[in-house]
Amino acid sequence: MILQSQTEQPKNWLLSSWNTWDRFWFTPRQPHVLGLLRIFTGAMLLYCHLVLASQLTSFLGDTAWINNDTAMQLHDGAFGIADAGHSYLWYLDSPSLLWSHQVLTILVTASFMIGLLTRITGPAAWFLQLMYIHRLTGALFGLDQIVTYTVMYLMFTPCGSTFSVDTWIRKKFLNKISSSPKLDWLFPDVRPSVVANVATRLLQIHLCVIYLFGGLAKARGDSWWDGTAVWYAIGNYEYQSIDMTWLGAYPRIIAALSNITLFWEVFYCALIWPRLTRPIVLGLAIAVHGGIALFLGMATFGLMMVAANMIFIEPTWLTGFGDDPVDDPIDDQKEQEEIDNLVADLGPGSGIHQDQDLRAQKLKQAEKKIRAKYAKLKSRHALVKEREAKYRERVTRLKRREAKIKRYAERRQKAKKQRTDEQE
Amino acid sequence: MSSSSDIGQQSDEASHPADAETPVQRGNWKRSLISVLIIVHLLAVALPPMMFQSGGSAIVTTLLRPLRAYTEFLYLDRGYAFFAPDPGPSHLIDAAVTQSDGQRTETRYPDREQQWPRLLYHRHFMLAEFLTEIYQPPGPPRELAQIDRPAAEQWVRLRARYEHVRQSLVDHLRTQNDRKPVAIRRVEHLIPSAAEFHAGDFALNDPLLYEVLLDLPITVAPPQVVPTESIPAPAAVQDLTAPVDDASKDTASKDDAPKEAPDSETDAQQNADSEVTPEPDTAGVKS
Repeated sequence: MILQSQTEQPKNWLLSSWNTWDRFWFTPRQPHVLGLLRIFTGAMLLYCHLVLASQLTSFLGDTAWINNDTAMQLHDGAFGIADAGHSYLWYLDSPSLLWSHQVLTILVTASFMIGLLTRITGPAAWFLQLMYIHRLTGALFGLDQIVTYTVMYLMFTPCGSTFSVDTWIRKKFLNKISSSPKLDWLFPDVRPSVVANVATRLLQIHLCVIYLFGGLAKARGDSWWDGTAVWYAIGNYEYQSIDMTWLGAYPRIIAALSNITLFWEVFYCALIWPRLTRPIVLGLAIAVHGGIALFLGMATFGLMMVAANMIFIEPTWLTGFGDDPVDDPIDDQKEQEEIDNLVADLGPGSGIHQDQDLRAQKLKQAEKKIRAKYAKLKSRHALVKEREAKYRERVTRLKRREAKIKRYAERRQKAKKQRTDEQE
Repeated sequence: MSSSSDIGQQSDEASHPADAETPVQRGNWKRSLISVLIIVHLLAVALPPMMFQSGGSAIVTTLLRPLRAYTEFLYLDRGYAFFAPDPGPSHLIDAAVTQSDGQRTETRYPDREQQWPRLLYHRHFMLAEFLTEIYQPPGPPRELAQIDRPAAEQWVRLRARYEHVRQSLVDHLRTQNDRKPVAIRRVEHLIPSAAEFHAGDFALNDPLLYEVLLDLPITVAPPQVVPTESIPAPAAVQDLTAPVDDASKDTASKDDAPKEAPDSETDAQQNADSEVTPEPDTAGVKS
């Protein structure tokens, strides 16, 4: 008996761990946050490529700051160990070819930003970004890292199913798209999916790793402990965009900012998950990265880090702004209450001696609200009908498939029976 | 918008998502496979910064070996040490272009006036930082080659990397300046302490804070052989302090002598003359 309970304990523990893992990774998630993050990431990628285009041959080709040969040698082992950071851009020299490539990249990233053919433009934007990254060695910084990671996780997801041109196309050609599995994949519907959850979790954990090691690296220095680090950041003339050196007159503030930054980075990975501390940690993320964006001349990096931190926002926050007004019960209730109040005011118990004008005004208001409500209900009804039609079609398709399978099974059974009979 | 209590609710969902949504039913083998891929990817995310911090612990090196190519191609091989361990001075490049009439014009990179928007300026700034980051002094010292041959070979490779990058920067500047002679030098921009700044000793861009970084070989001083007999007995300490102090002062004064910033062109000429660029594909380099 005791032996049995002892063997069951680790088994139960394992089962419960697997269930927790399963819930954490495989619970379907709405794609709204990813849709918003796609817009930010796409915009940042687009901006980076536009800026690069302003001095293209200074960064790509044989006459660049780091020319093609040197860029290749920095990766191919000529100066030590080779790495796998390869890029075909090492071999592109012709300005017309470089320009064509740049225009293509700009078009791809712009399409990704607006959510046009996101299933294709997402992976394409990521791949092009990697090629640039391995070519631009020496000119890169934190922005390039975070933007590459974000697009890497987004490309797997149906991030084009919301806040996108793909959504508009899907609505416009709903029947055609929902009847074809390929088109249904290309223009995904807004629905919870496991892949959206996996990508969200991966980016969340990746951010935790970035902050943890950023914090640990700072903890090895003296200035983050003795509280002078922030002074040396704001006192760096080359980084400075807004002069904050007046803060140096308040050493306690400088020290507090330095120490808070250190502790925030180290403990981000733990404090971002509990309900109590998440708003504080996100608030500090906005403050720290906002500060970097405003005062340390890295608006792009600061904004992108704030955008990446959005991954910890739950999609339910954004579903109100989403493309599917069918599931919006809170709004309904509120409107209904307002209309009921207005009607009650105009009812028989509301007092006959009330001013006629006021009554007329209220009546108009009520009418307007009821009309708006009616219009909303009508459009919702149409959407529900549309969805119903889609489901009906799906059911028909499934029934057809089921019948086909049944026929096949019957045929097999018959054949089997026949063979048995023949053998007998 | 949602209040902070809403965030709390969402956090609960994050921690216990099963309360909110039902997991999709899938084949266990599929989930197991995806789980393995997730673990591999997470290792690829966490191990490179671990390697960066540990400086190559045995376990991290072993675990990272099979994932190396994956992390490098996906640009995951980063340390994430932003402004760490301490925010330090900036490193810039001074470029001197000799005009056809012999006049020299100097430009400093990065330059906010010349490079706009800010992202473009920052790319130039990173290039200047990169040159100093990969700097390797001329050498290796002969003694190192005798003691540790692999370290000496690595020195040669790192020096070659620095020289190739420096030459690439010079070539770019020559292309931009109608093939006129160009020389560059590295400059470090020091940051005054808050006390010095507020005492009015230095402005942030005070010329005194810009220090030219010289490209000089590291020389190994011959070891001083001190005979046992010369160690003073406790009673004689006071008598012997004076000559010892004098000797140390002499050494210090030599070390602290202000380094004269070399004429940028001459410096570059010397560098160019002494530049020994090993062929990247030679067997020696590859080994």
